[in-house]
Amino acid sequence: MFMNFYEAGLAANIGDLVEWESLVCHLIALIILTVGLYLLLFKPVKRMIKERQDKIKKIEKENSDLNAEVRQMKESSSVLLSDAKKQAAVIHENAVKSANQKADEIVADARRQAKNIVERAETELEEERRNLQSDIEQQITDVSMAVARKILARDISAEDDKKLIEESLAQWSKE
Amino acid sequence: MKNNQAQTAKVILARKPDSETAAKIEAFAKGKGCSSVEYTIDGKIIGGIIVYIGDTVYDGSVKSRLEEMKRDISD
Repeated sequence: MFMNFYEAGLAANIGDLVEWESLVCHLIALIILTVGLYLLLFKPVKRMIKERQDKIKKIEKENSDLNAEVRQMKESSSVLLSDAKKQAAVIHENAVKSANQKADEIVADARRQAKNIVERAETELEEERRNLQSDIEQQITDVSMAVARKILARDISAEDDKKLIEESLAQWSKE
Repeated sequence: MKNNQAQTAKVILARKPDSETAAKIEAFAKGKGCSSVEYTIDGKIIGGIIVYIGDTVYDGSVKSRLEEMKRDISD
């Protein structure tokens, strides 16, 4: 009951309060405002958003291009690195071969030199031994001769000496 | 021969010779054409005799025999 009275009163009041001209004016103003806003604000914002999107797309494209370039460079560098590794392996192998060859040559040379030294030492030793033997023989001979000379000088009597002289004279007379 | 007659035989002995040995030496020298003999006593020859007549040397010393023996041993 109360609600019906209230609703009936409210409708009567709205009807009193709202004027149709004003409402129309408000509607026109709203339309104008909407169109104005659409023209002045929505379009530029839309354009700006589109520009932003284009810019982003451009950046994305550049980024994609750069990525592709980086990928290509990476692949290229990978190939270069692989080649460099191969070359390094070849150089290393050659260096090892060369070093081994050099080492073999040095060892062979050292062996040759050692052999020569040993042969020379043996020759010198043999010569030294011969010289020493010869010296010893000479010394023995000298000592023997000195001893013989002393013994003969002591033991040869006048008679022996006379006999020796006579034998020599007899032999020379026959010649 | 004429040359030798003018020469003196130089004789080296280890000890002084007795008259018999001296006579044999002089006879030998004369046989080689020498007119005189000159004696030298040298104990280093140990024994035997060395005679120099001109450029010829007659060496019958014990010393030279020992040297010869030494050479034979060394060779």
